[in-house]
Amino acid sequence: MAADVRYIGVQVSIFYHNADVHVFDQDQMTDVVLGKYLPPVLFDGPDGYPVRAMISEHGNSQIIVTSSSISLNASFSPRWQQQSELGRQYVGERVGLLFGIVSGLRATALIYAGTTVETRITSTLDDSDIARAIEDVYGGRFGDRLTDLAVKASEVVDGNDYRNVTVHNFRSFAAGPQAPPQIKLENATASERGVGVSVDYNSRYGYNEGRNAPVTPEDVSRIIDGAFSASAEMSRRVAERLT
Amino acid sequence: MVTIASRLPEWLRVSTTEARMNIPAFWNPSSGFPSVPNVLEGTQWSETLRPRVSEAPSNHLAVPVSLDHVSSYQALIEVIERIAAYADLPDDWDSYGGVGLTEHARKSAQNFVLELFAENLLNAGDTVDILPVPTGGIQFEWAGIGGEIEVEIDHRGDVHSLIEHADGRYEASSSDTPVPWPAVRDQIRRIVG
Repeated sequence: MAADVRYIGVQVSIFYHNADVHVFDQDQMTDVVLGKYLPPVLFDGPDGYPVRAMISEHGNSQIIVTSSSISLNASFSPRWQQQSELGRQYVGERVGLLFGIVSGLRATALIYAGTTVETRITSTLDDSDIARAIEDVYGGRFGDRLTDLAVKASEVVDGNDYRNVTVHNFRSFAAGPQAPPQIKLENATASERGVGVSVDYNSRYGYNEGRNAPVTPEDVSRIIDGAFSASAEMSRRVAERLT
Repeated sequence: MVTIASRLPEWLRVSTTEARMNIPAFWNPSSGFPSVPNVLEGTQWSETLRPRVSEAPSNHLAVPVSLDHVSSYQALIEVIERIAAYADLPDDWDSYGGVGLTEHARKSAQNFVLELFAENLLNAGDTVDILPVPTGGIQFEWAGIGGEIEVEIDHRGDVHSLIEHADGRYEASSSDTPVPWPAVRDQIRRIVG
């Protein structure tokens, strides 16, 4: 029996040229997100540029608006982690919301969009066997002392999209968020280990190559589908090897 | 100052600067989005050893601004999660007939924390304790150089405050007259400095 695949989180982003975060109409945007997100807050991001953020009532989902992008970030509850269709539906239903917000930003042009999907497949196998599972997926051979392995593969899809898939093993430790570097992270004490699959599916190739492909709600839905599909396929292949 | 904190089980007495609370299994409604424990991943690199020069791969999404290290924003998310969790409390959660946050209290608490954030009063350095009130409200507590303050949002969504000044004087708002936001903001500022 294949190991369980958990969908940890999704990000959907749309990039544009030089929007003005300050022209953002607070009341209008509050109405746009009403019932799904709390009213926007404005603050300086780590780079000093202004950021608008809207947080869902449960805090699991946020919409982040900057002068160059809008992103929907969602992390999933344990029940949703087991049912990817719920996460897919959740972000799909909010695509219109993102476009509704962007329309109030006076962005000069939408240039590309993308979706990242993070999954995890936990395992009781030891580190080397977990790394061997990744090795097996790609048919590689990395020596007998293998303990960690990360493989990233990028493809161009339909002459417009990049499909980036990164597969890596992980160990998690129940350390605090600000754990000092002196703390010992003994392998045997890892609270969880397994394989993470990160998919980044985006239309940046078309933008880079000057194809000027439009960024429409339909395009973003297609990109979300591409990301979930790639994530499901790779996660399944890994899970089959982590029995 | 007498607080209701001592009446609460240990797992509820946590502050925003601590690790996220350990929500018991019974408090994991299928419709909710509970917090996840903090984990430290990988063993090879510590935060300080990461290369300072980052690559800019042309095939990835340019990662939008990461807010992971904006402590006040992370504190805001945690407080909103906490408010949602208190709204999902089962009846009799404290074994004394306590009820979860009412909708009025929840909305008022959400607006209250958005105001706190806008006024830079949700910094990680200013520890705020947040507790459910068994009658359907929620309480925020600060301690600072000016003393201690409890701000209670009752089941109707009205805001009340109780201050113990550093010199031992008490100052309590009337239970009939809610404290408006600007006034409670100024009270908090006087306490936390």
